[in-house]
Amino acid sequence: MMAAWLHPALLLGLGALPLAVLQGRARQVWQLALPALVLLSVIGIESGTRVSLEMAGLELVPLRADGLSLVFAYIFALVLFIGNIFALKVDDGAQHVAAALYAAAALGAVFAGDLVTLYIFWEIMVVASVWLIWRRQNRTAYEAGFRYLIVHALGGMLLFAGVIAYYLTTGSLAFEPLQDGGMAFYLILIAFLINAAAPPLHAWLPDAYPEATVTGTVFLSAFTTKTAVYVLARGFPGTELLVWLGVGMTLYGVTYAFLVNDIRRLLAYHIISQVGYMVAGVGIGTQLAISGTAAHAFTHILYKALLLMGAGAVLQMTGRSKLTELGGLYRTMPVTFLLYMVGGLSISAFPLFSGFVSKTIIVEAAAVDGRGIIFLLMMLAGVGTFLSTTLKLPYFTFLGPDSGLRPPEAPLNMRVAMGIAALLCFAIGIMPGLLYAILPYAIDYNAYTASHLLKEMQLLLFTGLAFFLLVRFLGGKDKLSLDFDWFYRVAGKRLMLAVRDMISEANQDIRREFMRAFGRLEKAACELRLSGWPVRSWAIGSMALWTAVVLAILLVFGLGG
Amino acid sequence: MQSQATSPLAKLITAMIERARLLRGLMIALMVAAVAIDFIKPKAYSRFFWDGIPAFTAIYAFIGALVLIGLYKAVGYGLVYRRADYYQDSAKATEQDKQ
Repeated sequence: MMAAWLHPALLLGLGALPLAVLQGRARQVWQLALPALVLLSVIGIESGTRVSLEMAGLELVPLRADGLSLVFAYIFALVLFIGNIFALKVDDGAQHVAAALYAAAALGAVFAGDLVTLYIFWEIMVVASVWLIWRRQNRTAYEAGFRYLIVHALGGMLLFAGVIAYYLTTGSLAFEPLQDGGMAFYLILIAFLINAAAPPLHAWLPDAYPEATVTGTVFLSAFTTKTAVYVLARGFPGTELLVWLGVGMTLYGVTYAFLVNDIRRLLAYHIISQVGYMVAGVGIGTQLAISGTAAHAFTHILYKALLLMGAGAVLQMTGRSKLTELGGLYRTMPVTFLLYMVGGLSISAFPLFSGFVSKTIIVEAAAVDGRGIIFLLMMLAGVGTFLSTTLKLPYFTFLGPDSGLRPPEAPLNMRVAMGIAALLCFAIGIMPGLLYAILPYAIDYNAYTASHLLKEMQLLLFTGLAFFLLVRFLGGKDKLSLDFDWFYRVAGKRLMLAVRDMISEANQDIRREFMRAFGRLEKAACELRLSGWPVRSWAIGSMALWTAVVLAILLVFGLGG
Repeated sequence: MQSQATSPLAKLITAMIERARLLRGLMIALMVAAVAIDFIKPKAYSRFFWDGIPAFTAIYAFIGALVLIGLYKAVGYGLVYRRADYYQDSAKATEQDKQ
């Protein structure tokens, strides 16, 4: 058993620091050894382990390991290892430190047994991850990173306010399922949904992820949204709102994925779509659905990393990431193409690949729960996923019209990283029992029944038919697709400027009016003085009257005594 | 398609692309088989009314794909498509406003 003091987040967080100074081979060795050690450390934690400490009168639980937290911890450590192989040749210590600290904070968040610990790791995640965007070192990335930071700072504030409200209401900080209703419930839920990228709180994701570094996007795709899925599963299982929100996410993601031209942005929208399945699973809330959610988070992290590594390799080797500028790359990048396709078949729930054994659990949970419309809408999102991720993107990038680009194959370390991820996608697909064994609840589910296989093959084949019939209309468009970030990038800016102008104008108007009134007063005073009216002679009777009035007022108001 | 592939893997993919008719035939055969089996095999579930309709998923997927494609075209051209440099232009316009 792991020593109680050796929290995996602490091990990884401290282990990240040498990456800032190590160079060359030593840095590469440590980059692989560190996540391997963390993976071993996480594997060494037994379910039921709980470490608590008293601080400032509060009982904090920095380590609470159970079936739900461990499945997320395993995959976080594993994807850090794979991502570090992919980033092995990146000569930028800041990125390596940021990735490791980001992963450490994600581990800390899934092991947090109380809301204060969760909040602290939540904020570290934001501060560490933004560097993976900024280290792209161009203006677009810098601005996108700032927007990412501001949105998440808002989310962090909402979480903080929610934690305080929760403590004031319940007198507890334990991170357990929250009771419906109340301010704390909604504040914490909104904060979690921002990180889960649930529309309309999602725009930070497709805005920022495609602007991150080639390797940074791989880490970004793994931790933030999946930590959000974990905390939703922990805090809000069975919340009905999440079922519809989740299904809305699946369809929103696939629709926007069609619209965009940048291949990494297309994949970013599919993160929203796939996280939608998980959010819906949390909303359904049955043991089958929660286990399905955990299973899908596990497989999703692997295949999404694989897809983004494939798209990243294309960007790295060609310097381009727009569908309209790519095409025919299979000639010189066949390995990248085939490995990408493994990710594509996995995300589309193609039998024998990982998505088939995880996504179908959530769909099955919806069916078992008697939710026919949800079941159908999830199937429709599956159609969209196959169309854009597995058909459109690879067709117009690797096959299709030849762009004339002949880049060399991705470097060996990148191919190895993609190869490991692809192997795991395939292994989970053919041996789902390995994944099912680590889920939070034991499930009685077999993906490989004749009925499931037949349904899935019909879905994929006839989606393919529609694609090939309409392929000439489906190429990328060199256009930008507005999303909700328009409200703070354009409308919000315009509103701020309009308010600024209004205030400035009002300020000038008030000053002008004041000066005009002052001028009038001055003129009146001058005229009064020149008229001699104040120093004219007064009749004695009139003077006596006014003296009496003044004395009476003093008497009435008691000022005379 | 003119082959410029050099690696054996790329040559294999090229060979497959050159036999697109054969692949298309295979796909059609698979589609026919997937639908035909649905007609003869007993239904596995009776949870929803469509569980007993043969080839329901095939029809749903095909129509669903057309609907999604139509939806994205409508959303794109009707609402959200802008020039690729839209945000740069907005930023410039804002700068000019400031001045």
